[in-house]
Amino acid sequence: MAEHRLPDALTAELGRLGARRAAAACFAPVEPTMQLVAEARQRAGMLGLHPALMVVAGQPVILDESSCTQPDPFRHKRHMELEVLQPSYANSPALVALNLDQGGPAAALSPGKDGQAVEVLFWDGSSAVPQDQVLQVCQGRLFIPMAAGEHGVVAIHSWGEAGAWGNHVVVCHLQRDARLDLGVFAHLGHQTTLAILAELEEGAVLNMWSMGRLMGLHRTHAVILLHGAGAQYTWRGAVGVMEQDDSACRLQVRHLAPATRSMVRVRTLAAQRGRLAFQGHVAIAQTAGGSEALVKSDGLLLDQGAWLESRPEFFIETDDVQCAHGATVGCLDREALFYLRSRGLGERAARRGLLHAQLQDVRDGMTQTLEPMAQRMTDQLVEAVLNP
Amino acid sequence: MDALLSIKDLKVANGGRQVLDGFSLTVGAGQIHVLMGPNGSGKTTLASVLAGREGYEVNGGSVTFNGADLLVLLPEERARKGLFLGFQHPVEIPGLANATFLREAYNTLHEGEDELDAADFLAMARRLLQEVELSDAFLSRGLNQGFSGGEKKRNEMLQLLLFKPRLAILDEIDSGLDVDGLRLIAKLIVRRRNEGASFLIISHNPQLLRYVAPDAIHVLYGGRLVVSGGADIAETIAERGYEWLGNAHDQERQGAVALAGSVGNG
Repeated sequence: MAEHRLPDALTAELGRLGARRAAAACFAPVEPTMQLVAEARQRAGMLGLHPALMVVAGQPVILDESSCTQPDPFRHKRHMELEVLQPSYANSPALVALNLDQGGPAAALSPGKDGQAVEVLFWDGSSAVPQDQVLQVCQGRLFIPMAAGEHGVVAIHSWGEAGAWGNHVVVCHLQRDARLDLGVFAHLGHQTTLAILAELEEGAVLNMWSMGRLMGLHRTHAVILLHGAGAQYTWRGAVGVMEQDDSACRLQVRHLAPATRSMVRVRTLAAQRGRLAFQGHVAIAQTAGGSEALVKSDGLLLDQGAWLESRPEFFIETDDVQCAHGATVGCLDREALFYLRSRGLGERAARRGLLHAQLQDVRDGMTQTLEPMAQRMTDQLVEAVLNP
Repeated sequence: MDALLSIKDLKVANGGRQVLDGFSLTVGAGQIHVLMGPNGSGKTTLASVLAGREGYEVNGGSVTFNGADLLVLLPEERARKGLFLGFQHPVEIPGLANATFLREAYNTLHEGEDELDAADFLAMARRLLQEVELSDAFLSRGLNQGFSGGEKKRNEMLQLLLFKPRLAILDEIDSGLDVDGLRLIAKLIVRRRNEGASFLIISHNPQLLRYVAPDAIHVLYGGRLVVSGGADIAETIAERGYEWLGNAHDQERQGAVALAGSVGNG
């Protein structure tokens, strides 16, 4: 398996940010040994997950044959939106090395059985990494094809040990009138680069929720193509950074057909010296008359050294649209904190209450099967920022 | 009667301005005291300092509550000792369900007692909601979210009935209330007083004072308590306003006259 040498600039950047074992000179994918797979299974159990599919060190480990197929479902998608590979967005010192065309195993998933969520675990263990190969890159590649009229629920969990670097791609293809509810949960202890590419045909609906701490140099990059008339996309996110995390989320939504709709609402939290940039970029083509789009981002700075940036952007090529965007960044309301404390709640409990209140609306409209996972992730996120 | 709250020569500055300048007051158990005064005289500052709000500089005096030095306690510690502040402008917190907040606060304030399970708590809260004439729907709404002014005040009273504080400081609890609401709140105050609770009510409303029949009415002017007495003080202020007190206060500071009524009570 080929090694990939980190660019000097990135190595320097890692050092500047105090990333663990920043002196790493090289990193390489690791074979999913039996030990790694066993650890992943154990970790899934500890996290309370019941994954149908684990992607361990880049290799799919199928646990539920009825939900997953293999191999190489990407053969139709190799040339889709390769620009996702460009780390062009603001404050993005980190590597984005995704490559759909790179080959290697991948898995396809068949969601949509009785409204139950199919769970996927991207697990990046570092325990099997030799000491001189500090960072590893795991290339988990997952394809979620949705047939016409099909409805499905998928929960993607990413988890890895400190020092591991997940580098994952999820591609969704929703045919006419298909609907996918997709939860993306970043469990603590892991830094990852995650690309999500979705293509929606006529009348298709993709509802996405993402939650968790975006650890280390996390990058999320989503590209959503609303190709068919009446296609709809929503994204609600509650994501946070702390310690010396320096993370970014970039979302591109492209309205390419008439009467398409997109709605993006993101809640961001930054504690300690955490840094997080969010960019919501919506492009509405000439062919997308009658479309509607909303991008709203609300950020909470919890410490003086924390940093948030939010950039909603619209590129509109037709007149007949309804678009709105907004971004706020602020601190916890001191008067609200005092109110809760005057009712006996300690400062910590009051802060917890306000944080949960801030994140409450992220779960609006959420599929029932994702709700407990989202609740757990919200609890984890709040406790993490309260317990730096 | 033993003092529940004893304020002696309290001096408080805010933003470089001396707001309270030697304020003294004693409230006994089961008493209702009313504090009046013109805008900016320091009434809300006093309530805030007693409840522990940040941003005020206490530069003199002492406050004892139920035998403890109140000023060294955190806001939550004051609440757990039985002090309650009814806010003039209760805060809206969308996303925090009223029921969730009430239950967590109740269990915190009744720590050491058997914790009420959700069903028992809900039954109690619903009963008290009826008493403040709010519907059950107010439990599932965000805390004070979208409540009218009167509904917010009723929600404050709901908390007062639920938490059963020893001393409630009610900062303009009557504002935003219609006549029926005012009468209802007065009735609940009197009931709690009869159960042994004490009140320090900040109000300009003579109607409320008639309903609750306070033990004493005090007037705060220029950061000091200048007059204490009975219902006649409220009637006089209703007729003459506060200006005459200002003139008398200035002269009193120069040692020229004694004000009507008893000056201070502490």
